[in-house]
Amino acid sequence: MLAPVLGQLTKTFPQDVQIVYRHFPLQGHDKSLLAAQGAEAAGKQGKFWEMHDAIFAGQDTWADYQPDQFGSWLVEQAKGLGLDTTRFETDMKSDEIVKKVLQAQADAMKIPIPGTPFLLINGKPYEGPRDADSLAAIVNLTTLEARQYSECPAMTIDAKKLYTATLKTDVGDIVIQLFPDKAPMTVNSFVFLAQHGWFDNTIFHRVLPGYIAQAGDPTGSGYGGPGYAFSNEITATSRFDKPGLLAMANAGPNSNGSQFFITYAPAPDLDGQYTIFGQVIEGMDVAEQLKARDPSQGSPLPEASKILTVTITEK
Amino acid sequence: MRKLWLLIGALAGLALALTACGSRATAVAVIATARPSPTPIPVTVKPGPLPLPTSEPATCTVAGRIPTPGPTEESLFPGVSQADWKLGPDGAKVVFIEYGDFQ
Repeated sequence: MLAPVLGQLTKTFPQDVQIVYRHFPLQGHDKSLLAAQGAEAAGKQGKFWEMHDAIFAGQDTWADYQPDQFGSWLVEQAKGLGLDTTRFETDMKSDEIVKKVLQAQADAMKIPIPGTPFLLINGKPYEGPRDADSLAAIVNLTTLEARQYSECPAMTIDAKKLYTATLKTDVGDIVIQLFPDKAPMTVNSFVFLAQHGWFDNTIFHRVLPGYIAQAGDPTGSGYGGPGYAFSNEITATSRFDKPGLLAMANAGPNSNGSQFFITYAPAPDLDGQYTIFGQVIEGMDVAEQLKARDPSQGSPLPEASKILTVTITEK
Repeated sequence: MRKLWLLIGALAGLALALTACGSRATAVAVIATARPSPTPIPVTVKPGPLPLPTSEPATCTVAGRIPTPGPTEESLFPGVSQADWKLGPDGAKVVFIEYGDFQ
């Protein structure tokens, strides 16, 4: 059911999410109009959403009721919500509310809305998955926009220096030596993002034991990036020939952003497609403890291991 | 005609073989259609063609961020108004409008 998922989103994202409910009582449903009238009548006493939640939550109870019986059930709910039930009953069948609901129905049919529940996200029809994780990912991606960069980072690293990155995770530290000589643009971007806190409190959203652990997306969905994209830096000698290699994940050639992965084993099948830009020098045992999580398995996904901070040292 | 069927059979076989090869890292999408159109491409890691070393200097460009809808795409649906039942702050970054039927 969509309504409780949306309700939860307003609690998870109190600043960033607004939900709107519009009635589309389908013709042929014997209690649709009355239900909408009940919600409106509760709204008259400031309890629209409470009644909205109660009607949806009670669907199994009232589904087989006759309309009269359902009307009484609505009054009971109103009583439970502390409403003035006399007023509620009068309002529920008042011309004003009956007309309002019929108008909403007519408006929806005129658009036309193809069926219910029908969802718009920021004004656009949305027909994707409606589970809590998927919709939360959409919110995260939309809010990520405010953090995305409108320029590529300036080149600030010195390829002759030694750079190490310490990934402080909730299971321990992973220390990685970066390869500024082999992949200067990649290392520069990683250093830039780390120093701007991009990776703080993000998750390893895709951990496939024996293969790779992927992270670097603040939305945790696998779709997030920093707002810029850079090309691969792959040399003839770069090979996925051992565990602990740090490389960029991408969505096709030259689409590197912020997502990266660490290999758990040699992975020659990845050769030539992904920029290798570092090597774990400490904490491979920590990397091995990252919680397995395969987004292709679908929702709900298990809890993920977290990156708390990424600090860079330069020598 | 028979040749055509042989060709179709061969293509189907090839498709199956490719699917099998790719099975190790099929973890492509968390939510393949979880964003409004256009369908996004997830950032992922999967086996692919043979190495293709780059010799040119790397480049960076500002990537398309979340696509903004075209000016005509929203016209069918009335915007949020004071007449609507709303939960959450006005001006929220993400607004979900549900057209619903309680029954």
